This record gives sequence, structure tokens and C-alpha cells, in this order.
Amino acid sequence: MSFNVLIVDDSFSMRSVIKKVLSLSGFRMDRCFDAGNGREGLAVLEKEWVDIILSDINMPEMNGLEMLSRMKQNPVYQNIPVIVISTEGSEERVNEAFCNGAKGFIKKPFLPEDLKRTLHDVLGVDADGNYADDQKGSNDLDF
Amino acid sequence: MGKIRVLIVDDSAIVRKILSEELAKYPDIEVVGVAPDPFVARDKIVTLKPDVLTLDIEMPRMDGLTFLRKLMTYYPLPTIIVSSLTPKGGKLTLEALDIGAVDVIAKPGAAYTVGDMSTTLVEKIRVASRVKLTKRENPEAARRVDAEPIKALAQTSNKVIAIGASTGGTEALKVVLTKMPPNSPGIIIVQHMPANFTTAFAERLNNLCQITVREAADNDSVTAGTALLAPGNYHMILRRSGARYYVEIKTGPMVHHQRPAVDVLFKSTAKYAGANSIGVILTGMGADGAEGMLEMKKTGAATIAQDEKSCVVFGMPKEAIKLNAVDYVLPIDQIASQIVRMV
Amino acid sequence: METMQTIRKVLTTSTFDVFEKMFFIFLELSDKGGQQCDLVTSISFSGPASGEISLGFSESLARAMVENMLGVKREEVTRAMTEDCAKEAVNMIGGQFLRTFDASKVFNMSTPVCSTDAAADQQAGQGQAIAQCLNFECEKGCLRIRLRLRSEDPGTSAGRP
Repeated sequence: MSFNVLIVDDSFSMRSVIKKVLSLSGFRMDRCFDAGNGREGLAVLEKEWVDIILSDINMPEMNGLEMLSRMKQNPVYQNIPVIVISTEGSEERVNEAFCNGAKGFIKKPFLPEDLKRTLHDVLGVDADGNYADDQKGSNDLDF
Repeated sequence: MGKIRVLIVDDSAIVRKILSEELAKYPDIEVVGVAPDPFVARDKIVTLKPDVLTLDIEMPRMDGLTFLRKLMTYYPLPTIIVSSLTPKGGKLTLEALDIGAVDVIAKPGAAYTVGDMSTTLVEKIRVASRVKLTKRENPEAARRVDAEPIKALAQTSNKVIAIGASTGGTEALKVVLTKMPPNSPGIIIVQHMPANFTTAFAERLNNLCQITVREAADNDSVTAGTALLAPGNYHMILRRSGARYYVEIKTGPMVHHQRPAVDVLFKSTAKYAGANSIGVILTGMGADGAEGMLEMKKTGAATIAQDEKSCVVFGMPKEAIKLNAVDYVLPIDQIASQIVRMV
Repeated sequence: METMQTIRKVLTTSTFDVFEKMFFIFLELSDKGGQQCDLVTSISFSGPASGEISLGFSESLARAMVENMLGVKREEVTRAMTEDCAKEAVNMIGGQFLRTFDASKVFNMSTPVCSTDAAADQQAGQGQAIAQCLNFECEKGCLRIRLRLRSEDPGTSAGRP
């Protein structure tokens, strides 16, 4: 099992750090796409199968909240979980993000563990990438 | 010719095991992998490049519909839905067909053994492997293509329109029926579909159409503005009493391995409505309906077949055309207007 | 005056937090002022209070931040990378500062920009006074933080409803 990840942040450094933390944390990442703002993020979604999105809020051209609300209107995108990673952390902004469909919220600066934990909470898998409710032995039938 | 490569997506280890074992009995089919969830499935689709997917639509931990939408958008692959016979399963299945699944098969149940299922499934896998899927445009755009419904007819007619469909028919029927005017002549339909799915399918069509669509009950009259869908596992037969057309719903032997069978409907239509009827044969595998359509034509009925290009599977229409039973071969979006012109 | 004490404390801890978590750099407060700032980044905010936070970096500190954050070698560090890291630093410190100060209030933050001391000083002439100036240092170099607050103006300080 592995996940395709999309990272949306206008800072190149922040995208690199998120990507680095993801790969170091043992998170099972298959492909990793990145985008500099919401519009670019949506363009990636048009072409690529994405399982989870990590997105900033404050970005030029299209911010993260607008990207979330556009995603909601498309049946193919509306169920892709989005974790917001933002410096903005007022209660109202956090609520706004959740109301727009975000499944998690990480405040910058963050520790690798914060990211890892939120990812697993949102995807419903434990630290080893296994589903919490997997029964023993169910995998021995996999080829 | 190479084997048909199949990937089984099902969260139940038992179902994965049963399906793998059953399909292993057929030399032309190879189960290249199994996946318990969408993430594993995606990996395996990319690496194993299967020809056909079987997908359990009801999985506790995964939204099968979401998975299917992504599949149809990013890696279109002929997909057969494996579904339970519950009303919820029926509803999900119809939505799955809407999204682009090729066919549906019911999970084994009391009166329906694993052996029964595997024979049917293998047939469906063979058909699905020949289906050409193209990347789906944005669903909203696709919906807009559907032309306007036809306005009411000047005069109500007592003609009977008999329609038969199989694989790909849920979409094809939607295209035809949504265009039919509110005072359309009475319509009787056989769509090959497992029992229990027909109720939900009729409801769904009813919500989309100007005409009333419902699952037929025994002795229902065929009236203008109403389409009757044969219930799964029963044949539907047209009868006439004076000026009133009505249907009989009854069990009986399978015809072309199907119940309801299109031939049963068409032959009874030929007998009781003759020249006062129109026969329409839509996408589907096999030959069901071809003989019945020929009988209809011989009694003076007008007949229409869906063209190869717009068919998911050009089987039943092809057989009917071969028998010289067809007057018009038309793309799916022109069939409704042709019917209206002829009534 | 008590508010100013709180602001100073929150700004200091926010800076420590961001530098430790994101850049693996452990700063210390310093009383040396007037160091040379090779790169200045700033972010402005509006809401219940409006103003600007600016960070002035010595070249060596900015480069060290890039090396640590991106895991690249010294010779691979480009100007674009240092500017991007320095902007992200002021963005994070600004966000952390504002939400720690009062998470119940909404502040709108601008996108961070690179500027110069001269340009930043011009702001002073537009009703923004330096409310806080903090100096930090570590073996990698030094950092100066300035917080400017716009003088009370009911028209702009009302914030979002």
C-alpha cells in the first residue's frame, strides 16, 4: 500500500521540508506532486491520482480555502482528504478550513511527529501503514 | 491471444480467495493480483496493468464509488461491480454504472451458488476485456451533452414501444428515456440485471425522466407516459385484452441464460401488438432479442438497433442486424427522436 | 506597559520555536544592536491590531538556515533559496506570534516579502512606529526582529467582522 501525495505551498523550502519529513517518517509515499498555489494544485488533480493533499492557506493566485471549495464541487476530488498546514492558526481560520472540508490542521512550525500523526489520523492507518482494524492473517491471501 | 488479466478488489479475504480460485479454473483468465483497499489497488493497477477489474462496491473502509470515479478519471479500466443483493447495494451499483462500470454481478446468495456466479462472471470478464474505455470527461460536461427532452407529442398514441438491453444498457436506457416526452406511448423494457437491482434502477430513471418509470407488476397496464421495467429474475410478457395492453410477470425457464429475456418480451409484443409496436435493441452481449425482433418486424413493427460506435458491447444489436430484423441502425442519442417520429 | 512585556515574551518564544523546529538553530537573545542585516524579510498584518514584522538576517545565518532546512550543502545554496527560507521564517514567526498572542482573533497576513532596511525604515514615516526590537545571535550569525505597530486608527483596526 502506498499513497500519492500532493503538496501545495508557495514556498519551495516548505514543500521540500514537508516532502523530506514525509519520506523520513516512514509514511508510505508512492508519488509526490507539488504545486505553488491552489490553481496549480487543481491542475495537478486534473491529471494525477492523488490520495491526500497537504496544503497551505495563504498563497498567491488561489488560496488553500478556495481550492478546498472548488474541490468540493467536483465529484472526483471531493473525497480526497486535505490537511491544511498553515502559519495562520486563529480559531476562526481553523474552523473555516474544517468547514471547507479540511480533515486535519497542522500549524507551522511543526515537528515531524505532528505531520506523521495527523497523516495517520486522517488516513486511518497506524505508524507502520497498517489499518487499525486489519484482522490477523487477512494479508496472507495477497499475492 | 494472451490471457485476460484480472485484478480483484475486495476487502474480504474470503471473497478474494473464492474469486481467485474460481477464476483460476478458466484457462483464458489469469488473476494477476488482489487488493483489499484502494491504495493497494492503485499500486497494482499501475504495476500489473490488468485488463479487467472486479470491484466490491460496499467496503467498510473505502468508498468504492470514490475509488471508481478516480479510476475512470485517471486509469479507465473495464470494471465489473460485485454487489450484494441489498437495497443499499443496488443503489450503489446503479451509481457505479453511472460512473462508468461496465457491468454488475451479484454476490452468491441462497439460491445462487458460487458456481453460478463464476460462470456468469467469466462471461462478463470476457466481454469487459473487449470494451474500449476512454478517459471520462468531467462528469458535469458529460451531463450537458444530453440533449433536451422532446416536447409533448401532438397526439397520444396507443403504440407499444418494446426495448431490450444488456451490458451498458443502464446508461443507454437513461439516454433514451430521459428524452421521451411526457405523453410518450407506453414503453416496456427488459434490461438484463440481477434481481433486486431493477427496483432501484426504475426509481432512479423515474427521477430523471419526464415519463413515469417503474418496476412492472403483474397485470400492469401499458399506458401512455409510463415505462415498465421487467423485474429481475422474472420474464415480462405483453398481453392484450380488448384495447388494453397489459403485462404478465412470470417466472419460467431462462432464455439465453437470462430472466428476464428480451426475446420473451419481443415475441409476445410481436404476437399481441404487431404492427402497432416499435422494437428497440440496445447495447449488450449475446444474442438475446434478435429472434424476437425478427418476429416483430415480420408482423409489421418498426425496429431500431443501437449502432456499434455508441454500444458498450455490440452483441445483441449485431445479431439482430444479422437476421435482417432491423430497420434503422442509429447512435444512442438519436433513438428517442426516431421513436417519436414513428409514433 | 504590561502588554508590551507580553508582546516581547511571545515574540521571543515564537522565534525560538520556529528556529528550533524548522531550521534546527538554537538562538540566544543578545543585547548587541546595530549589526549588519544582509537580508530583510517582512510580513504585514491587519486585524484587531495592524503592523509589520520584519526579520533582518546576517548572510551567514540565512545560509545556515537553508542548509539545515533543505539539507543541502553550503555550495548548493542559491540566493533564491535563502530568500525563500527567510520569507518562510518571517511568515511562521508572524503566524505563531499572532495566534499565541490571541487565537480568538483573526489577523489577515500578507504574503512575506524581501525588503531592505532602508525600505522598512520608510514605513516608520507612515504612522508605524517600532514597538519592539529584538536581537538574537548564535554561532551561525545574528538575527534582528522588529515589530512595528500602526498607531491607533479606528478605521483600520476594526478588523474583520
